Amino acid sequence: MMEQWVVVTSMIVAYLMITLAIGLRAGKGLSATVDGYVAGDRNFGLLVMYFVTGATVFSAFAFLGGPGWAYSRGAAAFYILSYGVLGMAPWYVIGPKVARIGRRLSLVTQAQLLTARFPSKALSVSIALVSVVALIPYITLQMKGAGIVIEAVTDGHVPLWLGALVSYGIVLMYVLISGVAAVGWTNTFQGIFMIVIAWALGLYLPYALHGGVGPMFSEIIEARPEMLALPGLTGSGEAWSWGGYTSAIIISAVGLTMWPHIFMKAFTARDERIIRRTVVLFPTFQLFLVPVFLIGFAGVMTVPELERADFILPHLILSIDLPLIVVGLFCAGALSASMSTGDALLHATASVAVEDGIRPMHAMSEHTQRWLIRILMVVAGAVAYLFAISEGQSLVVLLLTSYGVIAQLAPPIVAALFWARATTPGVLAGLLAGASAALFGFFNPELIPFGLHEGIIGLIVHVPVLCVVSWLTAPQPSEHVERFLNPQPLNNG
Amino acid sequence: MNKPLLHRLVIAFFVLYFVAVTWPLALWVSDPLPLVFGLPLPLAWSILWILLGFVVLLILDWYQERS
Repeated sequence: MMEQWVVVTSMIVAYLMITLAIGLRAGKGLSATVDGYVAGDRNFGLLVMYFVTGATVFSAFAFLGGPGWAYSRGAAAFYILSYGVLGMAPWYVIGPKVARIGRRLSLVTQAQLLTARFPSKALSVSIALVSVVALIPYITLQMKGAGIVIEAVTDGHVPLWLGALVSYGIVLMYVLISGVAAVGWTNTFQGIFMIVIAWALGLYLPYALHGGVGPMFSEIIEARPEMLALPGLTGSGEAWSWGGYTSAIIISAVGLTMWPHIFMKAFTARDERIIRRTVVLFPTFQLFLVPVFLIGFAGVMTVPELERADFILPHLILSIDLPLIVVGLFCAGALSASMSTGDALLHATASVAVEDGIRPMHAMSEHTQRWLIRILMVVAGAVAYLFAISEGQSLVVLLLTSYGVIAQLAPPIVAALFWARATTPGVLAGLLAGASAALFGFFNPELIPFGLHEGIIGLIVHVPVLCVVSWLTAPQPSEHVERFLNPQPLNNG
Repeated sequence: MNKPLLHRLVIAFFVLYFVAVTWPLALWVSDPLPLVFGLPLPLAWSILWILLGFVVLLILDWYQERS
Protein backbone atom coordinates (compact mmCIF):
# COMPACT_ATOMS: atom_id res chain seq x y z
CA MET A 1 0.00 0.00 0.00
CA MET A 2 1.16 3.50 -0.77
CA GLU A 3 2.68 5.25 2.21
CA GLN A 4 0.44 7.76 3.94
CA TRP A 5 2.68 10.74 3.48
CA VAL A 6 2.85 10.13 -0.26
CA VAL A 7 -0.94 10.29 -0.54
CA VAL A 8 -1.08 13.49 1.50
CA THR A 9 1.77 15.03 -0.48
CA SER A 10 -0.01 14.26 -3.76
CA MET A 11 -3.13 15.99 -2.47
CA ILE A 12 -1.07 19.03 -1.53
CA VAL A 13 0.55 19.09 -4.97
CA ALA A 14 -2.88 18.84 -6.64
CA TYR A 15 -4.18 21.70 -4.52
CA LEU A 16 -1.15 23.88 -5.32
CA MET A 17 -1.55 23.20 -9.04
CA ILE A 18 -5.22 24.27 -9.00
CA THR A 19 -4.28 27.47 -7.16
CA LEU A 20 -1.53 28.19 -9.67
CA ALA A 21 -3.87 27.64 -12.63
CA ILE A 22 -6.48 30.00 -11.15
CA GLY A 23 -3.83 32.62 -10.39
CA LEU A 24 -2.34 32.53 -13.86
CA ARG A 25 -5.73 32.70 -15.59
CA ALA A 26 -6.72 35.75 -13.51
CA GLY A 27 -4.32 38.14 -15.21
CA LYS A 28 -5.75 37.59 -18.69
CA GLY A 29 -7.32 40.69 -20.21
CA LEU A 30 -5.88 43.09 -17.66
CA SER A 31 -4.31 46.33 -18.88
CA ALA A 32 -0.49 46.51 -18.84
CA THR A 33 -0.47 49.53 -16.52
CA VAL A 34 0.32 50.21 -12.88
CA ASP A 35 -3.44 50.62 -12.37
CA GLY A 36 -3.94 47.14 -13.78
CA TYR A 37 -1.13 45.51 -11.82
CA VAL A 38 -1.65 47.18 -8.44
CA ALA A 39 -5.37 48.02 -8.49
CA GLY A 40 -6.75 45.36 -10.90
CA ASP A 41 -8.01 48.12 -13.24
CA ARG A 42 -10.36 49.01 -10.34
CA ASN A 43 -12.67 46.27 -11.50
CA PHE A 44 -13.21 43.79 -8.62
CA GLY A 45 -16.83 42.65 -8.20
CA LEU A 46 -18.66 41.79 -4.97
CA LEU A 47 -17.81 38.06 -4.83
CA VAL A 48 -14.09 38.66 -5.29
CA MET A 49 -14.01 41.67 -2.93
CA TYR A 50 -15.82 39.67 -0.23
CA PHE A 51 -13.29 36.85 -0.31
CA VAL A 52 -10.30 39.13 -0.81
CA THR A 53 -11.22 41.02 2.34
CA GLY A 54 -12.19 37.94 4.33
CA ALA A 55 -9.37 35.63 3.25
CA THR A 56 -6.78 38.38 3.54
CA VAL A 57 -7.79 39.21 7.10
CA PHE A 58 -7.81 35.53 8.11
CA SER A 59 -4.28 34.29 7.72
CA ALA A 60 -2.22 31.34 8.88
CA PHE A 61 -2.27 33.19 12.17
CA ALA A 62 -6.04 32.64 12.45
CA PHE A 63 -5.91 29.03 11.25
CA LEU A 64 -3.02 27.92 13.48
CA GLY A 65 -2.80 30.78 16.01
CA GLY A 66 -6.60 30.86 16.63
CA PRO A 67 -6.83 27.25 17.85
CA GLY A 68 -3.49 27.79 19.62
CA TRP A 69 -4.90 30.72 21.60
CA ALA A 70 -8.12 28.89 22.47
CA TYR A 71 -6.10 25.84 23.56
CA SER A 72 -3.55 27.65 25.70
CA ARG A 73 -5.22 30.94 26.70
CA GLY A 74 -8.92 30.04 26.70
CA ALA A 75 -11.35 32.97 26.77
CA ALA A 76 -8.53 35.41 25.92
CA ALA A 77 -9.02 34.27 22.31
CA PHE A 78 -12.49 35.87 22.26
CA TYR A 79 -10.87 39.27 21.81
CA ILE A 80 -10.10 38.20 18.21
CA LEU A 81 -13.82 37.56 17.75
CA SER A 82 -14.77 40.96 19.16
CA TYR A 83 -12.54 43.36 17.25
CA GLY A 84 -13.22 42.30 13.64
CA VAL A 85 -16.64 43.85 13.09
CA LEU A 86 -15.74 46.90 15.22
CA GLY A 87 -12.65 47.43 13.09
CA MET A 88 -14.40 46.91 9.76
CA ALA A 89 -17.56 49.00 10.39
CA PRO A 90 -15.89 52.45 9.94
CA TRP A 91 -14.73 51.21 6.52
CA TYR A 92 -18.36 51.55 5.37
CA VAL A 93 -17.76 55.31 5.39
CA ILE A 94 -13.98 55.50 4.86
CA GLY A 95 -13.64 52.86 2.11
CA PRO A 96 -15.93 54.44 -0.51
CA LYS A 97 -14.46 57.88 0.20
CA VAL A 98 -10.92 56.55 -0.30
CA ALA A 99 -12.02 54.80 -3.51
CA ARG A 100 -13.58 58.01 -4.86
CA ILE A 101 -10.48 60.10 -4.18
CA GLY A 102 -8.30 57.30 -5.59
CA ARG A 103 -10.24 57.27 -8.84
CA ARG A 104 -10.11 61.07 -9.20
CA LEU A 105 -6.41 61.42 -8.44
CA SER A 106 -5.23 58.03 -9.83
CA LEU A 107 -3.92 56.76 -6.49
CA VAL A 108 -3.00 53.14 -5.78
CA THR A 109 -1.50 53.23 -2.26
CA GLN A 110 -2.25 54.56 1.20
CA ALA A 111 0.78 56.87 1.28
CA GLN A 112 -0.23 58.39 -2.06
CA LEU A 113 -3.57 59.32 -0.53
CA LEU A 114 -1.90 60.88 2.50
CA THR A 115 0.74 62.77 0.52
CA ALA A 116 -1.91 64.03 -1.93
CA ARG A 117 -3.55 65.78 1.02
CA PHE A 118 -0.30 66.46 2.94
CA PRO A 119 2.43 66.95 0.30
CA SER A 120 5.72 65.73 1.78
CA LYS A 121 8.35 63.35 0.48
CA ALA A 122 9.42 62.62 4.06
CA LEU A 123 5.86 61.51 4.88
CA SER A 124 5.71 59.24 1.83
CA VAL A 125 9.06 57.60 2.57
CA SER A 126 8.35 57.15 6.29
CA ILE A 127 5.02 55.46 5.55
CA ALA A 128 6.76 53.20 3.03
CA LEU A 129 9.38 52.35 5.64
CA VAL A 130 6.87 51.70 8.43
CA SER A 131 4.76 49.55 6.10
CA VAL A 132 7.62 47.42 4.80
CA VAL A 133 9.08 46.90 8.29
CA ALA A 134 5.64 45.84 9.54
CA LEU A 135 4.82 43.65 6.53
CA ILE A 136 7.99 41.53 6.34
CA PRO A 137 7.49 39.71 9.70
CA TYR A 138 3.87 39.18 8.67
CA ILE A 139 4.98 37.45 5.44
CA THR A 140 7.52 35.41 7.41
CA LEU A 141 4.79 34.13 9.71
CA GLN A 142 2.66 33.02 6.75
CA MET A 143 5.57 31.18 5.14
CA LYS A 144 6.48 29.50 8.40
CA GLY A 145 2.82 28.49 8.87
CA ALA A 146 2.78 26.84 5.43
CA GLY A 147 6.10 25.08 6.10
CA ILE A 148 5.01 23.83 9.55
CA VAL A 149 1.78 22.34 8.23
CA ILE A 150 3.45 20.56 5.33
CA GLU A 151 6.26 19.23 7.53
CA ALA A 152 3.76 17.95 10.14
CA VAL A 153 1.42 16.09 7.78
CA THR A 154 4.20 14.49 5.74
CA ASP A 155 5.92 13.10 8.85
CA GLY A 156 8.90 15.33 8.18
CA HIS A 157 9.49 13.94 4.68
CA VAL A 158 8.92 17.42 3.28
CA PRO A 159 10.88 19.66 5.69
CA LEU A 160 9.81 23.20 6.57
CA TRP A 161 12.32 24.85 4.24
CA LEU A 162 11.09 22.87 1.24
CA GLY A 163 7.38 23.23 2.02
CA ALA A 164 7.70 26.98 2.47
CA LEU A 165 9.86 27.27 -0.66
CA VAL A 166 7.46 25.38 -2.92
CA SER A 167 4.23 26.94 -1.65
CA TYR A 168 5.63 30.47 -1.80
CA GLY A 169 7.39 29.81 -5.08
CA ILE A 170 3.90 29.21 -6.47
CA VAL A 171 2.50 32.32 -4.80
CA LEU A 172 5.31 34.38 -6.33
CA MET A 173 4.71 32.88 -9.75
CA TYR A 174 1.06 33.83 -9.96
CA VAL A 175 1.41 37.23 -8.35
CA LEU A 176 4.43 38.10 -10.54
CA ILE A 177 2.47 37.31 -13.67
CA SER A 178 -1.06 38.42 -12.84
CA GLY A 179 -0.57 41.06 -10.11
CA VAL A 180 -3.47 41.85 -7.81
CA ALA A 181 -5.97 40.09 -10.07
CA ALA A 182 -4.32 36.79 -9.08
CA VAL A 183 -4.75 37.71 -5.43
CA GLY A 184 -8.45 38.31 -6.07
CA TRP A 185 -9.29 35.02 -7.79
CA THR A 186 -7.03 32.72 -5.77
CA ASN A 187 -8.40 34.24 -2.55
CA THR A 188 -11.93 33.47 -3.69
CA PHE A 189 -10.98 29.83 -4.22
CA GLN A 190 -8.95 29.66 -1.01
CA GLY A 191 -11.58 31.54 1.02
CA ILE A 192 -14.31 29.05 0.13
CA PHE A 193 -11.92 26.21 0.86
CA MET A 194 -10.87 27.39 4.30
CA ILE A 195 -14.42 28.16 5.45
CA VAL A 196 -15.64 24.70 4.51
CA ILE A 197 -12.65 22.97 6.14
CA ALA A 198 -12.85 25.06 9.32
CA TRP A 199 -16.55 24.37 9.85
CA ALA A 200 -16.18 20.67 9.04
CA LEU A 201 -13.28 20.19 11.47
CA GLY A 202 -14.70 22.58 14.07
CA LEU A 203 -17.87 20.53 14.36
CA TYR A 204 -16.29 17.12 13.82
CA LEU A 205 -13.41 17.28 16.33
CA PRO A 206 -15.51 18.21 19.42
CA TYR A 207 -17.96 15.50 18.39
CA ALA A 208 -15.27 12.84 17.85
CA LEU A 209 -13.33 13.66 21.03
CA HIS A 210 -16.08 14.70 23.47
CA GLY A 211 -19.43 13.68 21.99
CA GLY A 212 -20.43 17.23 21.04
CA VAL A 213 -19.78 20.94 21.60
CA GLY A 214 -21.89 21.25 24.78
CA PRO A 215 -20.35 18.21 26.54
CA MET A 216 -16.89 19.47 25.57
CA PHE A 217 -17.40 22.83 27.27
CA SER A 218 -19.05 21.18 30.31
CA GLU A 219 -15.95 19.02 30.73
CA ILE A 220 -13.61 22.01 30.48
CA ILE A 221 -15.68 24.07 32.94
CA GLU A 222 -15.63 21.25 35.45
CA ALA A 223 -11.86 20.74 35.26
CA ARG A 224 -10.56 24.25 34.48
CA PRO A 225 -13.29 26.87 35.01
CA GLU A 226 -10.76 29.75 34.97
CA MET A 227 -9.98 28.96 31.34
CA LEU A 228 -13.40 29.94 30.00
CA ALA A 229 -13.90 33.04 32.16
CA LEU A 230 -13.05 36.44 30.66
CA PRO A 231 -10.45 37.82 30.16
CA GLY A 232 -8.79 34.39 29.94
CA LEU A 233 -5.15 33.56 30.50
CA THR A 234 -1.76 34.89 29.45
CA GLY A 235 0.71 32.81 27.44
CA SER A 236 2.27 31.54 30.65
CA GLY A 237 -1.05 30.48 32.16
CA GLU A 238 -1.74 33.29 34.65
CA ALA A 239 -4.93 35.38 34.52
CA TRP A 240 -4.79 38.06 31.76
CA SER A 241 -5.55 41.65 32.79
CA TRP A 242 -8.73 43.44 31.67
CA GLY A 243 -6.48 46.29 30.51
CA GLY A 244 -4.61 43.90 28.23
CA TYR A 245 -7.83 42.36 26.89
CA THR A 246 -9.61 45.67 26.27
CA SER A 247 -6.63 47.41 24.72
CA ALA A 248 -5.97 44.40 22.45
CA ILE A 249 -9.51 44.89 21.08
CA ILE A 250 -9.00 48.65 20.62
CA ILE A 251 -5.60 48.50 18.93
CA SER A 252 -6.59 45.61 16.64
CA ALA A 253 -9.84 47.34 15.63
CA VAL A 254 -8.01 50.59 14.89
CA GLY A 255 -5.18 48.82 13.06
CA LEU A 256 -7.27 46.33 11.07
CA THR A 257 -8.06 48.39 7.97
CA MET A 258 -4.82 50.36 8.20
CA TRP A 259 -2.71 47.40 7.08
CA PRO A 260 -1.53 48.39 3.59
CA HIS A 261 -2.57 45.07 2.03
CA ILE A 262 -6.14 45.59 3.24
CA PHE A 263 -6.40 49.37 2.83
CA MET A 264 -5.14 49.27 -0.75
CA LYS A 265 -8.00 46.96 -1.77
CA ALA A 266 -10.29 50.04 -1.62
CA PHE A 267 -8.61 51.06 -4.88
CA THR A 268 -9.48 47.75 -6.54
CA ALA A 269 -13.29 47.85 -6.20
CA ARG A 270 -15.41 48.41 -9.30
CA ASP A 271 -17.69 50.85 -7.50
CA GLU A 272 -18.40 52.22 -4.05
CA ARG A 273 -21.43 50.06 -3.52
CA ILE A 274 -19.20 46.96 -3.66
CA ILE A 275 -17.00 48.25 -0.85
CA ARG A 276 -20.05 48.97 1.30
CA ARG A 277 -21.51 45.52 0.59
CA THR A 278 -18.18 43.91 1.52
CA VAL A 279 -18.32 45.64 4.91
CA VAL A 280 -21.94 44.58 5.41
CA LEU A 281 -21.08 40.94 4.68
CA PHE A 282 -17.82 40.91 6.68
CA PRO A 283 -19.48 39.68 9.93
CA THR A 284 -20.39 36.44 8.14
CA PHE A 285 -16.69 35.87 7.51
CA GLN A 286 -15.89 36.77 11.12
CA LEU A 287 -18.02 33.85 12.30
CA PHE A 288 -15.44 31.57 10.65
CA LEU A 289 -13.41 32.03 13.85
CA VAL A 290 -16.01 30.14 15.89
CA PRO A 291 -15.17 26.66 14.51
CA VAL A 292 -11.48 27.59 14.62
CA PHE A 293 -11.79 28.16 18.38
CA LEU A 294 -13.84 24.99 18.82
CA ILE A 295 -10.91 23.06 17.34
CA GLY A 296 -8.55 24.57 19.91
CA PHE A 297 -10.93 23.88 22.80
CA ALA A 298 -11.28 20.28 21.63
CA GLY A 299 -7.61 19.83 22.55
CA VAL A 300 -7.79 21.25 26.09
CA MET A 301 -8.83 18.03 27.81
CA THR A 302 -7.35 15.55 25.34
CA VAL A 303 -3.84 16.94 24.77
CA PRO A 304 -2.42 17.68 28.25
CA GLU A 305 0.71 19.74 27.60
CA LEU A 306 1.67 20.73 24.10
CA GLU A 307 4.89 22.70 24.13
CA ARG A 308 3.98 24.92 21.18
CA ALA A 309 0.28 25.77 21.29
CA ASP A 310 0.18 26.77 17.61
CA PHE A 311 0.70 23.11 16.70
CA ILE A 312 -2.57 22.02 18.35
CA LEU A 313 -4.51 21.73 15.08
CA PRO A 314 -1.96 19.58 13.18
CA HIS A 315 -1.41 17.63 16.40
CA LEU A 316 -5.13 16.79 16.80
CA ILE A 317 -5.45 15.94 13.12
CA LEU A 318 -2.57 13.48 13.31
CA SER A 319 -3.31 12.01 16.75
CA ILE A 320 -6.83 10.79 15.99
CA ASP A 321 -7.45 8.28 13.26
CA LEU A 322 -8.80 10.48 10.52
CA PRO A 323 -9.27 9.31 6.95
CA LEU A 324 -6.29 10.40 4.82
CA ILE A 325 -8.47 12.56 2.66
CA VAL A 326 -9.42 14.66 5.70
CA VAL A 327 -5.74 15.14 6.59
CA GLY A 328 -5.00 16.24 3.04
CA LEU A 329 -7.98 18.59 2.96
CA PHE A 330 -7.02 20.11 6.30
CA CYS A 331 -3.55 20.74 4.95
CA ALA A 332 -4.95 22.45 1.87
CA GLY A 333 -7.21 24.56 4.11
CA ALA A 334 -4.28 25.71 6.24
CA LEU A 335 -2.21 26.41 3.13
CA SER A 336 -5.14 28.42 1.76
CA ALA A 337 -5.17 30.56 4.88
CA SER A 338 -1.42 31.13 4.68
CA MET A 339 -1.17 31.75 0.96
CA SER A 340 -4.27 33.93 0.64
CA THR A 341 -2.75 36.40 3.08
CA GLY A 342 0.84 35.90 1.94
CA ASP A 343 0.13 36.79 -1.69
CA ALA A 344 -1.62 40.04 -0.76
CA LEU A 345 1.22 40.87 1.66
CA LEU A 346 3.97 40.29 -0.91
CA HIS A 347 2.13 42.32 -3.50
CA ALA A 348 1.44 45.18 -1.08
CA THR A 349 5.01 45.27 0.26
CA ALA A 350 6.57 45.64 -3.19
CA SER A 351 3.92 48.08 -4.44
CA VAL A 352 4.33 50.32 -1.40
CA ALA A 353 8.15 50.20 -1.59
CA VAL A 354 8.12 51.28 -5.25
CA GLU A 355 5.19 53.71 -5.32
CA ASP A 356 5.87 55.43 -2.00
CA GLY A 357 9.51 54.77 -1.20
CA ILE A 358 11.30 55.03 -4.55
CA ARG A 359 9.07 56.86 -7.05
CA PRO A 360 8.84 60.15 -5.07
CA MET A 361 12.67 60.31 -5.37
CA HIS A 362 13.11 59.11 -8.96
CA ALA A 363 10.61 59.63 -11.76
CA MET A 364 10.12 56.44 -13.80
CA SER A 365 7.92 55.04 -16.54
CA GLU A 366 4.94 52.78 -15.85
CA HIS A 367 6.82 49.91 -17.47
CA THR A 368 9.81 50.36 -15.13
CA GLN A 369 7.46 50.63 -12.13
CA ARG A 370 5.78 47.34 -12.90
CA TRP A 371 9.12 45.61 -13.32
CA LEU A 372 10.53 47.11 -10.16
CA ILE A 373 7.46 45.93 -8.21
CA ARG A 374 8.07 42.41 -9.53
CA ILE A 375 11.76 42.47 -8.61
CA LEU A 376 11.06 43.79 -5.12
CA MET A 377 8.40 41.15 -4.63
CA VAL A 378 11.08 38.48 -5.14
CA VAL A 379 13.43 40.36 -2.80
CA ALA A 380 10.75 40.71 -0.09
CA GLY A 381 9.90 37.02 -0.52
CA ALA A 382 13.55 36.03 -0.20
CA VAL A 383 14.11 38.14 2.93
CA ALA A 384 10.97 36.75 4.58
CA TYR A 385 11.99 33.24 3.55
CA LEU A 386 15.41 33.60 5.19
CA PHE A 387 13.71 34.71 8.41
CA ALA A 388 11.24 31.82 8.13
CA ILE A 389 13.87 29.07 7.88
CA SER A 390 16.13 30.53 10.56
CA GLU A 391 15.09 29.82 14.13
CA GLY A 392 13.65 32.66 16.14
CA GLN A 393 10.70 32.97 18.48
CA SER A 394 10.44 36.72 18.45
CA LEU A 395 8.39 36.93 15.23
CA VAL A 396 4.98 36.79 16.85
CA VAL A 397 6.12 39.48 19.25
CA LEU A 398 7.37 41.50 16.29
CA LEU A 399 4.02 41.14 14.55
CA LEU A 400 2.06 42.27 17.61
CA THR A 401 4.38 45.26 17.86
CA SER A 402 3.89 46.13 14.22
CA TYR A 403 0.13 46.23 14.90
CA GLY A 404 0.87 49.05 17.34
CA VAL A 405 2.92 50.87 14.71
CA ILE A 406 0.42 50.29 11.86
CA ALA A 407 -2.38 51.66 14.06
CA GLN A 408 -0.47 54.97 14.02
CA LEU A 409 -1.56 55.36 10.38
CA ALA A 410 -5.18 55.73 11.52
CA PRO A 411 -5.04 59.34 12.86
CA PRO A 412 -3.44 60.73 9.64
CA ILE A 413 -6.01 58.89 7.48
CA VAL A 414 -8.92 60.19 9.56
CA ALA A 415 -7.40 63.70 9.52
CA ALA A 416 -6.90 63.57 5.74
CA LEU A 417 -10.53 62.61 5.09
CA PHE A 418 -12.44 64.45 7.82
CA TRP A 419 -10.46 67.31 9.37
CA ALA A 420 -10.06 70.53 7.36
CA ARG A 421 -7.62 72.10 9.81
CA ALA A 422 -5.03 69.29 9.71
CA THR A 423 -1.67 70.33 8.22
CA THR A 424 1.40 68.56 6.86
CA PRO A 425 3.68 69.45 9.83
CA GLY A 426 0.92 68.34 12.23
CA VAL A 427 0.57 64.95 10.57
CA LEU A 428 4.33 64.41 10.36
CA ALA A 429 4.89 65.40 14.00
CA GLY A 430 1.98 63.22 15.17
CA LEU A 431 3.21 60.18 13.25
CA LEU A 432 6.75 60.56 14.55
CA ALA A 433 5.63 61.09 18.16
CA GLY A 434 3.07 58.26 18.04
CA ALA A 435 5.40 55.69 16.49
CA SER A 436 8.21 56.61 18.90
CA ALA A 437 5.89 56.36 21.91
CA ALA A 438 4.65 52.94 20.75
CA LEU A 439 8.22 51.69 20.33
CA PHE A 440 9.26 53.16 23.68
CA GLY A 441 6.34 51.39 25.33
CA PHE A 442 7.34 48.14 23.66
CA PHE A 443 10.86 48.29 25.09
CA ASN A 444 9.71 49.50 28.53
CA PRO A 445 6.53 47.52 29.26
CA GLU A 446 7.02 47.95 33.02
CA LEU A 447 6.26 51.68 32.62
CA ILE A 448 2.82 51.08 31.03
CA PRO A 449 -0.12 51.00 33.49
CA PHE A 450 -2.93 48.36 33.53
CA GLY A 451 -1.11 46.10 31.04
CA LEU A 452 -2.20 48.33 28.15
CA HIS A 453 -0.96 47.63 24.60
CA GLU A 454 1.95 49.93 23.63
CA GLY A 455 0.03 50.98 20.50
CA ILE A 456 -2.57 52.64 22.75
CA ILE A 457 0.20 54.69 24.38
CA GLY A 458 1.28 55.66 20.85
CA LEU A 459 -2.24 56.85 19.98
CA ILE A 460 -2.60 58.75 23.27
CA VAL A 461 0.54 60.73 22.34
CA HIS A 462 -0.15 60.87 18.60
CA VAL A 463 -3.59 62.50 18.50
CA PRO A 464 -2.85 65.57 20.71
CA VAL A 465 0.46 66.19 18.90
CA LEU A 466 -1.27 66.04 15.52
CA CYS A 467 -3.98 68.47 16.69
CA VAL A 468 -1.73 70.98 18.48
CA VAL A 469 0.92 71.20 15.74
CA SER A 470 -1.81 71.54 13.10
CA TRP A 471 -3.42 74.42 15.00
CA LEU A 472 -0.04 76.12 15.37
CA THR A 473 0.76 75.96 11.63
CA ALA A 474 -0.87 77.67 8.65
CA PRO A 475 -4.09 76.01 7.42
CA GLN A 476 -4.26 74.45 3.96
CA PRO A 477 -6.15 76.29 1.16
CA SER A 478 -9.84 75.40 1.39
CA GLU A 479 -10.18 74.34 -2.28
CA HIS A 480 -7.38 71.79 -1.72
CA VAL A 481 -8.99 70.46 1.47
CA GLU A 482 -12.42 70.25 -0.17
CA ARG A 483 -11.20 67.61 -2.65
CA PHE A 484 -10.59 65.24 0.28
CA LEU A 485 -13.40 66.12 2.64
CA ASN A 486 -16.11 66.12 -0.02
CA PRO A 487 -14.79 64.23 -3.04
CA GLN A 488 -17.17 64.35 -6.01
CA PRO A 489 -17.82 61.10 -7.87
CA LEU A 490 -16.59 60.77 -11.46
CA ASN A 491 -19.38 60.44 -13.99
CA ASN A 492 -18.19 57.03 -15.10
CA GLY A 493 -17.74 55.69 -11.56
CA MET B 1 -36.26 57.85 9.05
CA ASN B 2 -34.01 60.70 7.92
CA LYS B 3 -30.41 59.97 7.06
CA PRO B 4 -28.53 61.89 9.79
CA LEU B 5 -30.68 60.26 12.47
CA LEU B 6 -30.00 56.81 11.04
CA HIS B 7 -26.26 57.53 10.92
CA ARG B 8 -26.32 58.69 14.55
CA LEU B 9 -28.17 55.55 15.60
CA VAL B 10 -25.65 53.34 13.78
CA ILE B 11 -22.73 55.12 15.42
CA ALA B 12 -24.46 54.80 18.80
CA PHE B 13 -24.92 51.07 18.17
CA PHE B 14 -21.22 50.52 17.44
CA VAL B 15 -20.22 52.50 20.53
CA LEU B 16 -22.56 50.26 22.51
CA TYR B 17 -21.01 47.19 20.79
CA PHE B 18 -17.55 48.34 21.87
CA VAL B 19 -18.66 49.01 25.45
CA ALA B 20 -20.47 45.65 25.63
CA VAL B 21 -17.42 43.54 24.75
CA THR B 22 -14.81 45.41 26.82
CA TRP B 23 -14.19 46.27 30.45
CA PRO B 24 -16.20 47.10 32.54
CA LEU B 25 -19.45 45.91 30.92
CA ALA B 26 -17.90 42.59 29.86
CA LEU B 27 -17.42 41.78 33.59
CA TRP B 28 -21.14 41.09 33.57
CA VAL B 29 -20.71 38.18 31.13
CA SER B 30 -17.26 37.03 32.25
CA ASP B 31 -18.47 33.82 33.93
CA PRO B 32 -18.56 30.81 31.58
CA LEU B 33 -21.92 29.60 32.93
CA PRO B 34 -24.68 29.26 31.89
CA LEU B 35 -23.95 27.54 28.59
CA VAL B 36 -25.94 29.08 25.74
CA PHE B 37 -26.66 26.55 22.96
CA GLY B 38 -23.74 24.56 24.38
CA LEU B 39 -21.35 27.55 24.24
CA PRO B 40 -19.87 29.33 27.29
CA LEU B 41 -21.53 32.69 27.98
CA PRO B 42 -18.61 34.96 26.94
CA LEU B 43 -18.34 33.16 23.58
CA ALA B 44 -22.09 33.29 22.98
CA TRP B 45 -22.04 36.99 23.93
CA SER B 46 -19.32 37.75 21.34
CA ILE B 47 -21.25 35.86 18.65
CA LEU B 48 -24.48 37.67 19.56
CA TRP B 49 -22.80 41.05 18.95
CA ILE B 50 -21.38 39.94 15.61
CA LEU B 51 -24.89 38.94 14.52
CA LEU B 52 -26.37 42.22 15.81
CA GLY B 53 -23.63 44.11 13.95
CA PHE B 54 -24.53 42.24 10.79
CA VAL B 55 -28.22 43.16 11.13
CA VAL B 56 -27.45 46.84 11.81
CA LEU B 57 -25.12 47.03 8.79
CA LEU B 58 -27.81 45.39 6.63
CA ILE B 59 -30.39 47.96 7.74
CA LEU B 60 -27.93 50.82 7.14
CA ASP B 61 -27.14 49.54 3.66
CA TRP B 62 -30.80 49.03 2.83
CA TYR B 63 -31.54 52.68 3.69
CA GLN B 64 -28.42 53.86 1.85
CA GLU B 65 -29.47 52.05 -1.33
CA ARG B 66 -33.04 53.35 -1.13
CA SER B 67 -31.86 56.94 -1.04
